[in-house]
This record gives sequence, structure tokens and C-alpha cells, in this order.
Amino acid sequence: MKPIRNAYALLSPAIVWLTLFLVVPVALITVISFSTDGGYGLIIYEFSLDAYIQAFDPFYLQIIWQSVVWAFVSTVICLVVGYPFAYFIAHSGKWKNILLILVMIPFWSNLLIRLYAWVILLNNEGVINQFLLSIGLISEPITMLYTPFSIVVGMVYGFLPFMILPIYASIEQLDRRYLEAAEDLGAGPVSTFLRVTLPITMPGVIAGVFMTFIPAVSVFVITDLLTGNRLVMIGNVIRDAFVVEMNWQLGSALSILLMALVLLSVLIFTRFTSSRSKKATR
Amino acid sequence: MNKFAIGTLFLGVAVLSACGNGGNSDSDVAGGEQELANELYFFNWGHNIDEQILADFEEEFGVEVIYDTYASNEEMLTQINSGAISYDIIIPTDYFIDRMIQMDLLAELNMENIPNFENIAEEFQDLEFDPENRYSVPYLYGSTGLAYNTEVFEEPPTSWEVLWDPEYAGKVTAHDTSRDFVSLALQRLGKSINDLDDASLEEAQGILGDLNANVLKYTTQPAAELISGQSVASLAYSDQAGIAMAENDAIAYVLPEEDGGMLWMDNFAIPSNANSQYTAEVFINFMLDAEVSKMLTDYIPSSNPNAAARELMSEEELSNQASYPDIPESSEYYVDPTQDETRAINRIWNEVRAQ
Repeated sequence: MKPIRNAYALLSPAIVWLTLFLVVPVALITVISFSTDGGYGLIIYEFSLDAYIQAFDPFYLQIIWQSVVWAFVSTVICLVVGYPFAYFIAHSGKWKNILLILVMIPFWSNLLIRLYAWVILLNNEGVINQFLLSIGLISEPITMLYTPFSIVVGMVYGFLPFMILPIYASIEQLDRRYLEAAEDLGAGPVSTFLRVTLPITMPGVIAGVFMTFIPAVSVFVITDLLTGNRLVMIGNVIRDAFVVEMNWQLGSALSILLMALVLLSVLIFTRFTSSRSKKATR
Repeated sequence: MNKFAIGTLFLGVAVLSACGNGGNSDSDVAGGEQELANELYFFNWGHNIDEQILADFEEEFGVEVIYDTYASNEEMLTQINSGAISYDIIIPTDYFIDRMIQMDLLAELNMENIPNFENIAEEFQDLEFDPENRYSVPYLYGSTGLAYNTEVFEEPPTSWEVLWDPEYAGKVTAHDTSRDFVSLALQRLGKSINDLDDASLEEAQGILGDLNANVLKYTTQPAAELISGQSVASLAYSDQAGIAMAENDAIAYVLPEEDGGMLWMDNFAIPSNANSQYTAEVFINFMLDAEVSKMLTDYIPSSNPNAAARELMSEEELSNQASYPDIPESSEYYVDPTQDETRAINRIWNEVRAQ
């Protein structure tokens, strides 16, 4: 059939892209994680479980757990801030495009540079402390930088747009007639939101949660800059396994472990939320 | 909207950076051929040369220099192992020379082509990591010591102990490199930084928790904190200390007399799979020329091991404490750790901070 052939033709760039940049790297990582350590980054292609034995160490599992907790906290904050934000943009009429551009402008410069800006803001001698001191609200600078607080700031700042944009897309597509129908049937604004708007925009929320949580759980640049390396995240441990220890097998095994964990949470989360949102719209 | 596609795309991006390969290409050394190649592939640390020097070399010898940089020895080794580009000159640090010799990755130098080697001060010849300089020639050196604020410390601190002092809690910084971190404890315990047996490491870990509690941040670039006064004492590379001292007169630098501090040396070396060993040796010889070498340290804040170049320097340059500090007897260069030792050190670094 012609239409089907056309569909494959149209899909082929995406398939090539996915193969090159997803399938091949993940396959490589998987292979390395099961290979034998030849010392200093050399890979001997003989099957070995050694890397996984190293990776399933309570210490690394504890660090993974810690990273999940920080990523979770940041994702929840992003959601709580991001949803109303997206809702507001979707309902702001002619300002909509300008607001959207403002959300995306930070992407024009590298995250690293923007994080340095936060160093200047959060510093003991930084802009925020100087301002609070000068208006007399505080008498001593509040230590914000190089504390766990700053990693949450960094992650929320860095990943908030990833939460806003998919949620915005789903609110934007929401058919207003559903809301009118809800109103006609006597639902108040709160009830309309909880029983109509939220369930229908749930796919956007799910996408936003993943797009925030996944980079957050494997972050390492933010840890370097904003906590001054005082916090240990699994992303930093994996980076160091590759570049300092030159233990590619361990780095790969930890990456696979982290991916498996993320995939698992994606599965659980989608099953949970999609069954709920189906129930709600029924 | 396909939630999985979005999720998996991110996974893909996340693992991309980890992809690479560990193959090895065969070396193809031209035997005894004393002819300059058209190109010289030079692989150096970032911000480690005045590029005018390369232009001068190109002009004088008609060899085009292809210049690439790296940010760590490990990164350089990964590139050399991958064999993607055959470099003619690399600049490994002391202990890394040792490692690369063990791995058979370096070519033996023909010193007949490097007569300027005699310009290197005697104290920098024939060092532990490459006895008799069979594989390497000193490029630049420096130290890792204590940068401190003279308004807080009237006398130069003689021990790393100040970094542990609760009086300066939240006002000291240390390096975010596991080896330096552990070395602070080893030297404070009166041990050698190369004493890496289990018992010594365990003892070191025992006192690092208290250091961790005191540290404002871990960084190899503490100049900003020193200048602003947020840090009153920092573990610092001599060149970072130099930057801080140039900006703030209150900052001084010392290798603590009791504990010693660390020394490091960057060296010219030629990979065994270089395109043209002869061209590389001509280049090294050119770089060791007194005038050229002086030009190098006029631009880079590291210290110059070239005695002939030092003779051209002013008294003021030579008395700069960041570049030419007094070196205590207990100061040491790093010896290459075994892979198990590297892992043990990194483990301590992670465990102490995750407590």
C-alpha cells in the first residue's frame, strides 16, 4: 500500500537518528559494562560481571538513592511552579508568544554560564545577600551557596522550562467546550480544574515530569558549581569512574543501573497516572 | 503525545557523552629518517602556551603546527589510546609519564636531536618518574601549596593543619581532585603522598571527615574566593596562587614547611605512534631555547625549569613566591598509583563527602 510506504519514508530520518544516537550508544555502554577491565580505560571484549559486582555496592546504591531524592524534590517544585506558570501563559492571549519566548531565551546560552550567574547571585557577598543586608532584613549574610539548598535551586532553574513547555502544549490544546460543558453541568472552578482540566492535561504533566526528573537524577555540572562538590550525586560518581579512575566498566554498569531505575519509574508512573486519568475522563 | 519517546530521547542524550572506543592503532615510525615532516601534531593542556611561539616555529622551520588541547591527563590518554589522531608531541604530567612508559606508549628520545636539553637545570633532570630522561623532557613545573591571607595569618602557616582549624570553618577550600584531597591527610600524618597502602589510607580517611566539615567548597580554582576574602586559606596550585596574589596584595603562598606540599612537572613526550619523531625532537629542542622558553613563562604563570631562560629573567620575576617558592625537603612529586590505589583514593573522596 502506498500510504504505508510513504509513512516509512517520512519516519526514516527519525529512525536513523534514534539508531545513531540512542540505540548505538546504549548498546555500546551495555557491551562495555559486561566487558573485562584491561586497565586504564582499555576494554577487553570478554564477558565479565565484575563491573556489576562493583556497582551493586551499598555505598553506590545509597548515592543513587540520594540523587533520586534530590531529583524528586526538584521535580515536585518544578511541577508546583510550572503548572500554574504554563496555565497562565496558555491564557495570556496576545502575550502568549512573548512569554513563551521568555521561557526559552535561557536556552540560547550554555547552562554552565547561567550557573555561574547563580554563583554570583547566591554568594555570601552576592547580589541577594547584599540586597537583604542593605535593606536591613538580615544582619549577617545567609549561606546559600555550597549547601544542598543550592543544588535544588540549580536544578529547578535549569529544568523548569522542560516542565513548562509540555504542560503548556497540553493546556493549549485543551478543547474549551469541555470546560463550558462542565460549567453547564454545575461544576465550580475547582471541580472543573480537578476533574476536567487536570486529567486531560495529564499527558503534558507526565512528559514534563520525565523531562525534569531524568536530567535531574544524573546531573553533575550543577553539583560541581553550586555545591562546590560538597554533595555527591551519582552523576558525579559516574563521571569520575570514567575520567578519574578510568574504570569504564564500572561507569557503564552504574549508567545502566541508573537507566534501568529511570525506566522502571517511568513505567510505574505512566501506568499509575494513565489509569487514573482514564478513570477521571470516563 | 508519546511520553516514552521523550523519556528515551533523554536517556540517549545522557549516555552519548560516555561513548567512545578503546582501540589501538599500530605505530608506524620512520626508521632513522632525518627529514622534517610538513606537519606537527601538538597535543597540550589548555591555556598552556603562548601561541606566538607556535607561529615562530612554523616560520622558522616551515612546519605547520596542528594544535589541540586537553583538560586532563586521562582525557589525553583516552585520545592516544583511540588512535584517532597520531600526535607527535604530548605534555603528560610527572606520574603520567611513568604510567605511559609502563603502557609502552612513549617513544625513546634521541637526545642528539635535543642538544638544548643541557639548558634544563640539573635539579629537574633525571627525576623519579623518568630516570635519565629517556622518554621525557621538562616543560613547566609548579607546586601545590597553601595560599593564605596575610591579614589572618601573620606568619606563614607551616602545616596543612590550618585547613582543619575549626576557627576557620567555612573559610577554607581544598581541591576537588581525590589524590590531592587524600595527600593533605597523608602529609599531615607525616607520611609520604606516595604511601598508599591500606593502613595509611585508612588512617588518612580517619582525619578527612573533620577537614570536610571545615571546607567551604572544593575547587582547583580558588583564586576568586581568595581575592574576595571568603577563603582565608586554600589548597592551591602555584599558578592559581599567582593569579590571586596579583589581584590582592594580602594573599601569599607557601609550601608548608612541616608537611611539604606537592610538586608537579609537565613534560614533553613523544607517543610511540607519532608521525614524525624527528620533527617532534626538533620542536622540543626549539622550545628549550633560552629565549623561547622565557617567552613561555612570560605568558604562563607556571615555573620554568630552564636554567638558561632563568638567566634572562629579572630579579623580581625570580623572587615571585608563587613561581619560585622555597621548596621544603619533604615536598614530593606524585608517583603513579596502581589502578587499585586510584580506586581506593577515589572511594575515600566519595565516602568522606557522602557521610
